[in-house]
Amino acid sequence: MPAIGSQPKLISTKEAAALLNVTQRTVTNWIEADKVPYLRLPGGEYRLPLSGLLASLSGTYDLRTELEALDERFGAIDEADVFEELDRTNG
Amino acid sequence: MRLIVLDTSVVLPALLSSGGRRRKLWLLLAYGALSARADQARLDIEFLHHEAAELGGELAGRQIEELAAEAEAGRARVAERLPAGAPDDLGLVASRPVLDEYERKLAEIGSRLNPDVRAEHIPLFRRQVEAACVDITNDFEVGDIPNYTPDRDDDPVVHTALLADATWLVADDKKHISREPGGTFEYRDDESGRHVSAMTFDYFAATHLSHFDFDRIDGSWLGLAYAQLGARD
Repeated sequence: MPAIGSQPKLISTKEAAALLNVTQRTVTNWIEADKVPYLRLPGGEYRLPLSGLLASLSGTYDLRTELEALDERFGAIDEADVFEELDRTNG
Repeated sequence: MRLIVLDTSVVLPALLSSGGRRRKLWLLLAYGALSARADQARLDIEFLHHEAAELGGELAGRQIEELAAEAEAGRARVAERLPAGAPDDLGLVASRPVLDEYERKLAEIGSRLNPDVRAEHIPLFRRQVEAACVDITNDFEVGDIPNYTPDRDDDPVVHTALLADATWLVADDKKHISREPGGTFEYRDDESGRHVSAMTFDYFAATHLSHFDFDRIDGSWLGLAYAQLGARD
């Protein structure tokens, strides 16, 4: 189900780690550093709002700097060259 | 919000070609993410307070109210640059298998396009995609999904679009996914009744982005959009 415009979605640290391809420890580190919004349950478990987690990601990584660094090194690649390589890969 | 799923054939040029037309679409998707997150954060505020009371839990960490205000201010900053009529309701959706496929293809062709592309750059590209997403669908096992296309490797992106109830699946893989270069190809899931229109980027731009001056968008503004997605005090 889409997260946007619908019932907000709460996910566990394990689900967040799997979705974002990071370790569960990394997610727990974000929580401990208050980098993401979360709900602490009475049993000590955590639940994270998916959209809030995604929105906070850029506070975890400097996306603009990363983009600019990637573009500086690779951004001059022509779209046509990417298509050509994809065609070759796809046969 | 109108949801859109992109095939690797659109995402990779958008990521790698900063001067290309697909990068312009990427900027619109980042703009859509800003708008959506502002709206969603407002919904989250009420929901989280309700859940905290219901479950006896405690809200903590980064303030959701702060995220909502930041997203709203950021949306306005990007809107100032965009041509009049640029849509703010296009939402990119992915899934873990689709993100994995983007990553796999980037690793496969990236170094052929530029020998400087190394393994450590691939997660950075992936983060660019994740940050522009309004949703990442529930996980699924690739082996469990139906056959939609002539190439099994292309089925996850179609399944993701159906699972997300996306309006469009944009793919420049004319052989396997979009199939009708000058039109649309409809994929259906009979069980859920959901359907999605697959089309090429050029067809999508001509039919759904022609009501404003799409070509006036400058792909270099994407940095501004990402700065807003990451805006902090």
